[in-house]
Amino acid sequence: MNEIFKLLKLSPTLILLFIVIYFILNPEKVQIWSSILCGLFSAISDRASRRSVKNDIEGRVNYYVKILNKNLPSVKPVGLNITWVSPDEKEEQFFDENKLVLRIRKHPNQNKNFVNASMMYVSKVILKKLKRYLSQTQKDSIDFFVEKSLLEKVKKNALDYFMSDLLMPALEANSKMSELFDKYNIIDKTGLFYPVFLQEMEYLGNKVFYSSKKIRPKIIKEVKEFISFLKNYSDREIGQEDTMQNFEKDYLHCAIMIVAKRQKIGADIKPYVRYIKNLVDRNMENIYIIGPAKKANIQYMKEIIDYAAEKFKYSMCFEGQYSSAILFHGSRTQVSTYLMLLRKIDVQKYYDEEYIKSIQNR
Amino acid sequence: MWKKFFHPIIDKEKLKVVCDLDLEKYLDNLGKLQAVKEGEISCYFCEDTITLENIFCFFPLSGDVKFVCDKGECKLKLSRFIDKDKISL
Repeated sequence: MNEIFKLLKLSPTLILLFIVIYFILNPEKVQIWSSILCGLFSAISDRASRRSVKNDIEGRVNYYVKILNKNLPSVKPVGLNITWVSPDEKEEQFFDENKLVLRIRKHPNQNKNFVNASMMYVSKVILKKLKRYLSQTQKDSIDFFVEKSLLEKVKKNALDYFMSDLLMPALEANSKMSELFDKYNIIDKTGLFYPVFLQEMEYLGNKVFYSSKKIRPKIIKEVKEFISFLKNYSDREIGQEDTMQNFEKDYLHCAIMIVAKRQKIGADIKPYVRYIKNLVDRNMENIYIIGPAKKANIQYMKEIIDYAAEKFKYSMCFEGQYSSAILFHGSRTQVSTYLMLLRKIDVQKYYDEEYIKSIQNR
Repeated sequence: MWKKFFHPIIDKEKLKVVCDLDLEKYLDNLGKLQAVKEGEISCYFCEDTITLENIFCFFPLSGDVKFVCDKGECKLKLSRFIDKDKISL
C-alpha cells in the first residue's frame, strides 16, 4: 500500500514527463493545440490570429504526413511550412524568390484557408516524379482522393467546403474522373489504396526515366489497368479464387498473395514458398502478402517472408496492420488485416538515350 | 524501437502566404494595388476581373505578376499548373 502512495506522490512528475516526451515525439500535436489556444484570442490579437492559422495548417498537414508515412515507408516524408510574407517585402524579392503567394483570409474562414493550402501542398508533393507520365484525369483524381483522405483524417469540418467548392464540380464536369474516384473508394475500403496503389505508383515514378512523350501513353494505359485490377481484387468475395492476383505488364510487376486459409496455419510453409518462387520466376518485383492480423497468422507470415527473402534475394520493405472492409455474402465486413511487402532487391529501371545524355552532361 | 515512435519530418515544402490585413500594402509594393482597385487586372486562367475580394493567389511569371481568382475551376487549373512545375511554391 505504501508503495502505491509513493507512486502516487511521484505521479505528477511522471505524468509531466510523459506529456513532455509525447510532445517531443509529436511536435505537430503541439502545433494543433497551440492553434486552438491562439484561436481563442484571434478576435483581439492579430498576432494570435496569424499563429492560429499557421499552426492549424502546418500542424494538421504534417500530422497527416506522418500517418501517410506509416503506410508508405519508402516515400520520404515532406512536410509543409507556412511562411507569412512581410508587407514591406520589395518587388525585387518577390521576383527573385519566384514563388507563388497564397492569400489567407481572416480567421472565421479557416476551413477555406486550410483546404486551399493543403490542396496546393498535395498537388506539389504527391507522386511528384510519376505525375509527368500520368493523364490529367489520373493526376487530378489522385490529388483529390488524397486531399479528401487528408481532410477526413485531420480536418473533418473542412470537408463540406472541399466537396462543394472543388470536388463535386470537378466530378460533375469529368465523368472519367468520377469513375476513377469510385474505384479508389472501393480500393480504399479494403485498405489497399495507400500501401499498394500509391506505393506501386511511387515505385513506378522512381524507376522510369524516359522522355515522357515516348512512354506516357503506355504508362497511362498500365496505370488505368492497374486501378481496375485492384478494384476487381477489392470487389472479390472472401474465398473467391478466380480473381486475378498478379499484375504483369511492361512496367508494373506485382502480385498479391493471401496467407492464411485457416487450415494452413501452423502447417508447413513450403506451399507458400513454392508459390513465391513461381512469382519470383515470373519477375514480380513486389509481392504483397496479406492475411488476417491474428498473432499466430502474423508469425506464420513472417516465417514465410523471412525464408523467402533470404532464398530469393528479396527484402521485406514494409509491414503494417490496417482495417479493411471485405466482401462476405454480398456485404462488407470490417476485419483487421496484416500486410507485408516483399520487394526485389535489384529492380529493373528504364532509361532512354535522352535521359542518359542529360545525366552525363550534369 | 526509436524509429517506430519518432518520425521527424526533415524536408518541408515552403508555402508563402499573405494575410488579408497585409494584402493591400503588399500589392502596393508590387505596384499592382491601383490596377487591382481599378479593375484593370484579369484572372490568369478565366480572364474575369480581379478584385481585392476575389484574389486567390498571385505569382511571378515572365517578369509580371499574374493573379488567380477564387473560382473552383481556376483553383483546379492552378493545381495542374503547380503539378507541371510551371510555378514553384
